[in-house]
Amino acid sequence: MDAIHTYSFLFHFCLVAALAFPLLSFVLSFYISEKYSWITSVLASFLLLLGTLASAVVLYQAWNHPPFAYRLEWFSLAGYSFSAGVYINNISALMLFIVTGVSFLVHLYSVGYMAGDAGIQRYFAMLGFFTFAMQGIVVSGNLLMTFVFWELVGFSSYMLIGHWHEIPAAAEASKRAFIINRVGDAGFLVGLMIVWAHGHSFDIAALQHMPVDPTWMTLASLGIFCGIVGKSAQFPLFTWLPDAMVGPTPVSALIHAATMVAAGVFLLARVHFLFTVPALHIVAVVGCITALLGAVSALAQHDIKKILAYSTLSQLGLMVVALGAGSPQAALLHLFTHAFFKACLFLAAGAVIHSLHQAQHQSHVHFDVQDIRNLGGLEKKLPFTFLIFVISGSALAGLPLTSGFLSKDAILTALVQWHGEGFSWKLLILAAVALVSFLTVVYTFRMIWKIFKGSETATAQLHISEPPAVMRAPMAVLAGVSLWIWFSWNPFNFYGWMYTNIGEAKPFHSGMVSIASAIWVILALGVAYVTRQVTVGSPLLLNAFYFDRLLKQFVEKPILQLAALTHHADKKWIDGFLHATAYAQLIVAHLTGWFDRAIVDGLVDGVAGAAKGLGSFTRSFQGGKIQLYIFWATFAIIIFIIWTLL
Amino acid sequence: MEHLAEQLSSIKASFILLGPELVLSTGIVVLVILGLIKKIQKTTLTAMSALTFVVAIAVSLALSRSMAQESAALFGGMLRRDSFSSYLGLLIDISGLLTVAMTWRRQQLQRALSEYYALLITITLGAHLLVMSVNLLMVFLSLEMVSLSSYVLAGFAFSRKGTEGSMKYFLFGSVSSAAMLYGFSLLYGLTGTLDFSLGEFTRPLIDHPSPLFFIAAFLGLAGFLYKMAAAPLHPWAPDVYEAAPMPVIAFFAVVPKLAGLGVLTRFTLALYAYGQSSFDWQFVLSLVAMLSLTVGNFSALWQKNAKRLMGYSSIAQSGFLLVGVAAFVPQGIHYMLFYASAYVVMNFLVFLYLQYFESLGCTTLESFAGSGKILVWPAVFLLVGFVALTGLPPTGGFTGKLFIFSSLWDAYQLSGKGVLLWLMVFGLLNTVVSLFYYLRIPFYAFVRSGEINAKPNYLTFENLLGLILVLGVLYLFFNPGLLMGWINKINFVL
Repeated sequence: MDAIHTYSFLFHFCLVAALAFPLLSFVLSFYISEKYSWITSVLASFLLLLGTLASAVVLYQAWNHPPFAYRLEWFSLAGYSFSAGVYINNISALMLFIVTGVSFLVHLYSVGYMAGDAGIQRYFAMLGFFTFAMQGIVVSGNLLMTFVFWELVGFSSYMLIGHWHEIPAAAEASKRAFIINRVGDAGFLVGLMIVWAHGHSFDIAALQHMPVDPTWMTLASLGIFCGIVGKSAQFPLFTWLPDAMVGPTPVSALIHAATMVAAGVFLLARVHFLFTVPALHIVAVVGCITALLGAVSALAQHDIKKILAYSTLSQLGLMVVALGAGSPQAALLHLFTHAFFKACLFLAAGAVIHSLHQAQHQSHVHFDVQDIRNLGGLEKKLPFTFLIFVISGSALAGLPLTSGFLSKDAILTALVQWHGEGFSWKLLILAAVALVSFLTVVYTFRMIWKIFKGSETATAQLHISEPPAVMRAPMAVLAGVSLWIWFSWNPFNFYGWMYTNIGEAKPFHSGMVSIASAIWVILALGVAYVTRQVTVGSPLLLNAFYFDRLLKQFVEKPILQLAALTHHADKKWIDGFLHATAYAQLIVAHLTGWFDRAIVDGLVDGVAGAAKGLGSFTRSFQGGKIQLYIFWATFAIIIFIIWTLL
Repeated sequence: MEHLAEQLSSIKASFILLGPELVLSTGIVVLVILGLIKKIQKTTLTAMSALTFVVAIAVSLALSRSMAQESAALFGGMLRRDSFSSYLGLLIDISGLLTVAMTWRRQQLQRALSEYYALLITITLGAHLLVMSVNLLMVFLSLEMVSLSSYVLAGFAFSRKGTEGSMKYFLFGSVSSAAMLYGFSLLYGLTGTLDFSLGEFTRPLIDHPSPLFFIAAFLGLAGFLYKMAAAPLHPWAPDVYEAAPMPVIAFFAVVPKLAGLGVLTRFTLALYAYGQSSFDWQFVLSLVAMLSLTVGNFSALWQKNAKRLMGYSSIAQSGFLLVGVAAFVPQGIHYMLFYASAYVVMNFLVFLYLQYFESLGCTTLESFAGSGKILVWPAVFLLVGFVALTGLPPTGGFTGKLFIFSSLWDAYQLSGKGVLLWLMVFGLLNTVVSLFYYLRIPFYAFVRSGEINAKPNYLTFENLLGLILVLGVLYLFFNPGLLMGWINKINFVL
């Protein structure tokens, strides 16, 4: 590693290309005529493949080299210049590759999954745009730029959740996701303002040397954390994520499992240095609550995608706990592994849904294919999907020999290290995380068992076939990447090439934790097998403690009311205000008129009356008699003179 | 013989410094002669008078540049050309030019156009002479020159009402002239000199103050107040304004007012004698200003006719201008000149569009209803003009008022006289009051719905001129420094 590393032209080119291809895909989607809309899907996938290759080059070139920073003056305001910049280090290069790669696989999968959809062009356009926006967050070296892309990601997510906007639930869910994310972003913006007020810079590299005022930094970091809570669906702004499952399944795989929700965690890792100790404690507690909430709720769900959504919640919670515990590496490792296996799980779930839909279509039988109570015994009919499900499910459950085991191990290790000696509330968090990983095994097992084992119920009569190769291939790739080998040579030691290079890793590894974790998971598996027939019928858990109603009542409704109110105000109040001012003006004019008549005229009348019945003169004063004018003028002059002289 | 030769050479030298006035005189003669030609085009007359003003402005500028800061006594102390009088003369010429521009649009309607223009220029000439006068006799002569022409011009609508207004103007003017002349004669008797810029004029007044002197001076002042349409010699204004043609009102609202203001400033400063006078002229002027403001603004509130409303507005504006003089600090006079300049611009802006709307049949306030929706830009420009007259940002009217009141505040800090504080309070209150009637026309135009028969055609001369004036008004707000820098060079000495 040389101190001054100059990046080659190839690096620059590939960096631009990696970002340009998804954007190009977005733009080109509009230029392909409706008739040949299938071209869009193929072209978009191809462009994303190129983008993936380019980002692979970026990763290769930037890996273990000094960070690449490029800064451009964006605009200047009142003497302060705002820059836009790119900052590539190991983390962002890796994240860039993963985002682009997973996006490519999802594109490829969508070619099969979305075939024949009416809005296919819009779908691929937004998918490309989303990828670009997400890449923007990843490579941005500047918080302001991050915020811009952050919002773009929010927007494209809104578009994709509401892809089937003719379904009321989808429209509703997209609106909900948008609104709830805005709530978090408001906090983010406040945090950014505080950061600006203190550091006069948004540059992440420059902010590291910012003078620190603990109180303000705590506030700023909590503000930024608000944005992360919204985007990464943390407690209490998590309800949009399960609802967002009404979107196309590949979208769920890409956005609501692998990348977008990960943006929050990624940003948190990136600006981790801003967070003060009290802020980190809050982060840890919030993460812990989310993890527990997600895991418990996942137990009671019947919808495949809902189960996966709640498991995403709980996994994101785990990452946030790790960040709160001061171990961004562990969080990032879990983020990367999770990106693969969760995308894979979603794609596999999508494969089940797709196959069943196709079968339903042929036999005209209708039932909810996403409800696991209707499923069972699909092992025979969908052996490939079953295999994929088992591998990626094991990774989610954190079984040994999977990537999930490694990253969960890293998180647990970080927590063990963090809670320190003796008893403190941190121990509770550790216990909660252990419980979460236990529950994860249980609900994952339960889900797979219900879908593939047992006897067929509603599906018995259907002729079900495996999805096409274009869908199977991405699943296979992602399942492959869910194995331990890609992250560390030793399946029981997360200290692989990745973990050691994504941050200043603390040389702390406890074989004890690994072994305990392995035993714990196996135990959980046993429990899951024993209790496989038990259904958790709690409506409380099914509805995730009714948090959605709470949010609906206290966040969504007020915001929608506010929107209606501003709309109303726009229409009525402004007019009303104009009327009111007009009336006020008239009233004042009447008052002054009255004053004019009663006081001013009255005074004149009085003076006139006193001056030997000049009343008729006074009336004609307003009638315009010149004699009277002259009289008054002379009178006034005399009064003046007398007044001044006396 | 030598004495005579000396006088002749002095007269010759005076003539050179009298350039703008000579130009105006030539213009009058040429216009009267042109009027004799039967088939003369009306446009030719307009062009000729415009030319006169343009040349007068050019000569004024050239003269003030060559004269720099000195002040010169002309014709043996009859007149004094200094930067103060040059500046006011320039404002008056510009007002004349704008009046010609306004008249151009309605020249076909105007009978006896050559006389009209000749009278216009005569008033201008009189105003020029008035602001230069330092001799009581010369003051009287030039004031009458303005007045007599004004009486005639006021009746140039050739209507019953116009004649009536003109007659009233004349009668009222005669009385105030008489009062003024009486005052002057008393002053001459008391001081033995007619030149009020001399030490001999003020010394006896300081040494032997007598109530008679105050009476005399106040009577003299009455003539100027009449010219300015300031209370208590204001009653003629609304009647005359109501009856005269629109360009003439616009002209009356500015030129005699500025001329009266100029001579009043000189005269009161002489009377004030740097505070050595035993009479409190500051008190008198403050009182006059307060009275004008109150009478003008409060009476305007209930007017239904746009022209009459502007008549009362003009009275109130005299009050504001007098505030600058009443401060009796050099900066106050500078600020008064700034306000006067802004007043010229905004006054013509308002009258230009009032004339435009009058040609569409809008004479009463109610008849403006709905015009803002059809004639958007004229109504908006008119609004800007009214906003400026009210003295709200972002217009030059605001800056001018701000300046004037800040100098008043300074004067109050210096002297601690309660009456100045009262004037301040009155002025600010009246600004609020004026908001209600100034914005009534825009209120009708934009808020009330109504029918107006007009096709919006924005590419007219009015709108071009209006745009220039709007830009001028806005410019005076955003960059008052340029004009203020020029005004600050004016060195005011008696």
